[in-house]
Amino acid sequence: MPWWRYFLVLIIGLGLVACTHSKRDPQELVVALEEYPNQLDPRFARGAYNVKIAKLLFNGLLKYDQNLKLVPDLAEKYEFLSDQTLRITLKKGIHFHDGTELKIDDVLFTFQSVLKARQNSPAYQDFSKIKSLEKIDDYTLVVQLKEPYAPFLTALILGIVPHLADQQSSFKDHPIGTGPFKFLQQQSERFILLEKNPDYFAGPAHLSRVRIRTIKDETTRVLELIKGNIDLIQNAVPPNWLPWLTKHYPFQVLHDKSINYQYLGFNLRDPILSNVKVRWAIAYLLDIDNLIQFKLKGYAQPATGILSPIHWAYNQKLLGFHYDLEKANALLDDAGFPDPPGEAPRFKLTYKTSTNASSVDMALAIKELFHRAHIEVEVKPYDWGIFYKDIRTGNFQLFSLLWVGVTDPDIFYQVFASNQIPPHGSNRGFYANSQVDELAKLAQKTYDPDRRKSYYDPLQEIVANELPYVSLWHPDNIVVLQKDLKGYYLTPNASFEGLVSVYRE
Amino acid sequence: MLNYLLKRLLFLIPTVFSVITLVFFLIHIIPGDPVDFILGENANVQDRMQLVKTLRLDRNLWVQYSYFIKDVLTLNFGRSLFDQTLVARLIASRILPTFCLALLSMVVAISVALPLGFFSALKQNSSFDHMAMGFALLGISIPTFYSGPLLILFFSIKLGWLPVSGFEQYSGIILPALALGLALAAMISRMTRASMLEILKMDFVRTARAKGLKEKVLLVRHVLRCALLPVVTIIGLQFGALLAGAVVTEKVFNWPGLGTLLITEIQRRNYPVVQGCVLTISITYIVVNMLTDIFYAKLDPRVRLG
Repeated sequence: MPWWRYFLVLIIGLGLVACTHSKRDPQELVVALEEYPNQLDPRFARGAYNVKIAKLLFNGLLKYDQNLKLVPDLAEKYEFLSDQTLRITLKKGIHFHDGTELKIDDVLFTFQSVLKARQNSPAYQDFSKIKSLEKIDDYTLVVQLKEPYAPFLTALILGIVPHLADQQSSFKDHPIGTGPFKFLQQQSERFILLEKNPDYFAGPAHLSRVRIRTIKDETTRVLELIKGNIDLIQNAVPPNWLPWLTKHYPFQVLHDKSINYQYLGFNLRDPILSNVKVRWAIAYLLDIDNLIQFKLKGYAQPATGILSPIHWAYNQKLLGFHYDLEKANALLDDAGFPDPPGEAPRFKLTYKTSTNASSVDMALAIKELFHRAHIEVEVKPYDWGIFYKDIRTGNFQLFSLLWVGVTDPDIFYQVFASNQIPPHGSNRGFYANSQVDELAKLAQKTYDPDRRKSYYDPLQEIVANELPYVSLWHPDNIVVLQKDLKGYYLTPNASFEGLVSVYRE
Repeated sequence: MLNYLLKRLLFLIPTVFSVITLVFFLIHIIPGDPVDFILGENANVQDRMQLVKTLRLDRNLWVQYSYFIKDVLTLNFGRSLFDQTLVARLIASRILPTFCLALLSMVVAISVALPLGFFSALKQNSSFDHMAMGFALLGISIPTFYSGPLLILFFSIKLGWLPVSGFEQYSGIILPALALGLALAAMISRMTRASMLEILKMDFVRTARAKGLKEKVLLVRHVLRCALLPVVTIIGLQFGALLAGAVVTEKVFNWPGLGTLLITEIQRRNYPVVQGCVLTISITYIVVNMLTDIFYAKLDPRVRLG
């Protein structure tokens, strides 16, 4: 057979197979994720995608509203009887997906199983503050805390599971909650299919089904969107692709401020970086506005601190730094690092990053900015495991990471308190300031948001002056949708709750 | 033949043993800790120590190694450190997609490469030869992360014939198989051409022609058969490599193969899964090489197995 006939056979084969295409169901919405959410039990869900998809199946006692304030969800109300005693009353008539009514036994079971699981549950840290749990009746629970602890309220967003969950071997593979969607089926690493809960207490979703597909490659994700196989991608399309994408295809792009925080971290035990003038100089060197405009295509807001300007505890007085090479040079001279004659740099630094392409790209841009003040930076990309280990063990000079979903200002305690230096805690740069320690502790013991803010305001100012981190930006939440979808909305923590209200026009 | 097979199977034991030993020590020596990934940063020291103990990471590396070998000998590959799924189950779910993709890619590669190499050699320096070898050069030079999206753009977006990615439809295998197969075809066709040209210059070919052997019989039965010997070796090696997973192609086409699993689990230091994958891959590689040797003996009567 002549060789070209092989091609002919191949092409005809392709054509025939193409005829087997199935049509998309308009009642099904397809969402693409970067990672497969393999743990949907809210008690054990770690990682952003596990938590976000679990939120579609389960409700907590409380939830965040659009202004990041905690409001009742499954709870009818909650009240403090004293600064260590909290009474929670459940809404009546809420049912799990299997038809059983939600009662306080389910809440009790969820809390107790977190306490039993200890560190296997990411919620344990906050729940470990519980001294006792007392069931008053089928709808009322009294929680006694070991000490006044304001961040405990954030623990109450944990999804409530049925009290028989651990007796049902199928619960892990077929989770049952009270949420707007019911679990239907899954194929590991490929997709999860959810169907709407018609009896959802806050009103059922518009569309019948949601298919969560995992597509790890960003190019393929976008090509699937172009092909029309994906309806919605949230925070998983590189911002620098958006101008091209919206120019050539009629997609809708929604974007809004987020509570994620990108920063440059310093090792304060390093002889060069322990000098606050050097850190100030670096803050003046980083041309944030241009980095946002050219690298992120404007889809980010310059940051002045960990908290986003939309957060209730944000200190409005913080001004941040603006690019000023002259000031940076003067500060470096003053810090004892004059610019030597010739090509020699003032000093050399190592910037560690993961091998993620956009992180390396950003590191190289930052390296160039440092070079303007004659600081030589060596960018060292590592596999995530090695990078993370180095950051946790203080084996670094500079690094940049992102804090995702900063909801409670108690993060200041976790990342800046002197007793939070790894291995227990996230104070990776070895920052220590007794005033910060004290203010963070005081804020933990106060439930009133205004009083908490009165502690966090000076704390934010101290941190902004001492610069254990240089704040870079809060990347915007971005969602790209097919043009026929209406009713979706973004939340500051990039949850998928907008899937309830989305519909096809 | 039976003796040969038994010998090769016995040889498999020290080879696999060496590979898994090497991988065991390498994965444990490189920095990074599964405890960090499982518990996160806020775990207290007591709980970290408890998990380290549960995972036997507190033991001497040699003691951990002895546990590992004991587990392998009892065919107990353990569970994933993250979601407690059985390693055997995880790997089993990846074997079929990996095998299907490897097989179809090889079919594409051979059906394109052999005719291309064969006719290029016969029409050496003709415009067909230049075009074919130009194609081969392109195939070798263009990486899959570039050719993959191009194939998707053309066949899925432009023509709308095939799905963009995924394992949900049978037709989802065609594009990844084309991406992998055409890259392989490039290499195999150049090999076939070079090998054919070498054989065509040999004395026995001239003798056969002088004796009046029909050209078709000479080319197919004698020249091509001899020319295939080095090509078969390459095909065998490449097929083994395909069975070990084609990480980039799997990622671009969202294909649930063994390569992606291995890379993901190396990144989060999921030791049992990494070890299970390496064991599977090394056994596959050795078996494929053994089959290649058998096929080699069939092609060349001078080769005797035993």
